[in-house]
Amino acid sequence: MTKPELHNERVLAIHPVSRGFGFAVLEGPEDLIDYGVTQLKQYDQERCLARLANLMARCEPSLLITEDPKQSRQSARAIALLTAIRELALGKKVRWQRSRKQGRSSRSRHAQTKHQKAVVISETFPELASRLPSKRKPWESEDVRMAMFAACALALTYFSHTG
Amino acid sequence: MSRRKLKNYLRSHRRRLGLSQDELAYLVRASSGSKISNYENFRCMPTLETALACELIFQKPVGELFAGLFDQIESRTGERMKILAYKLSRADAGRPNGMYRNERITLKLEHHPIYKHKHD
Repeated sequence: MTKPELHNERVLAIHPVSRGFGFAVLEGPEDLIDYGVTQLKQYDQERCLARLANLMARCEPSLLITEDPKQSRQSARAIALLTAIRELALGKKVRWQRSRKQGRSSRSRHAQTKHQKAVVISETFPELASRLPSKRKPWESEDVRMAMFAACALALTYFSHTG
Repeated sequence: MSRRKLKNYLRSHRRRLGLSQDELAYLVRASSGSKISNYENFRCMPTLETALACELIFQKPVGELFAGLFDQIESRTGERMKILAYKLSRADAGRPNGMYRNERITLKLEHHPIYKHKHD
């Protein structure tokens, strides 16, 4: 009889972008279960939350991690979404935790920029390598796919702190 | 920390291999990618043939691919084993001691690893 191996806590990390959010679901620091970016053609917070609720129903996380809305340097819309996500998590009785300073996991200690951190993450999870955007030029806006890597970084930071 | 597992981990394994839903559907002889989507979103269960094909493709045992379902079945079977052992021991009550069929089966069931499995 084959016994399935024990999985760790299932963590859902969310990173908002201008018209949606990037997410990553991990069961321990080595096990990336799901990832992606959800974007709406026309931003609507309610619809965005409905998408997140669907995601939460599918992956049944035990913990939801987001950036701290009070300390975030993102746009007002993203901060409003972060606050609403927190309320959604509390309403669904899913533990919510704000992230500590992003990108301080042991693996990405030497990575300075967001792109360098994304490279480290794509080395940890090779399935993400094909999603890694090319390095942003100073005159370009950030690729939305970076939200996925930012969400991964949030979850990995959590695991590195909890051991 | 142990946690309730997802019913299946087809989506993560498929994406790890870099396959699309249509490509996996072709490999497992499913009608279309939407069938795979249904499996991944736990809307329906794959046939035994599909599950075994997935085991071959992902090189992971079925018990690991369908970890949540495996746990559910393990728990349910363990419960049923206990009930059956109880029923068999009751059927033997009142008879003179000896290694009857029921007694032998009850002993085997009680020593089965699933029997002592902690149920939810």
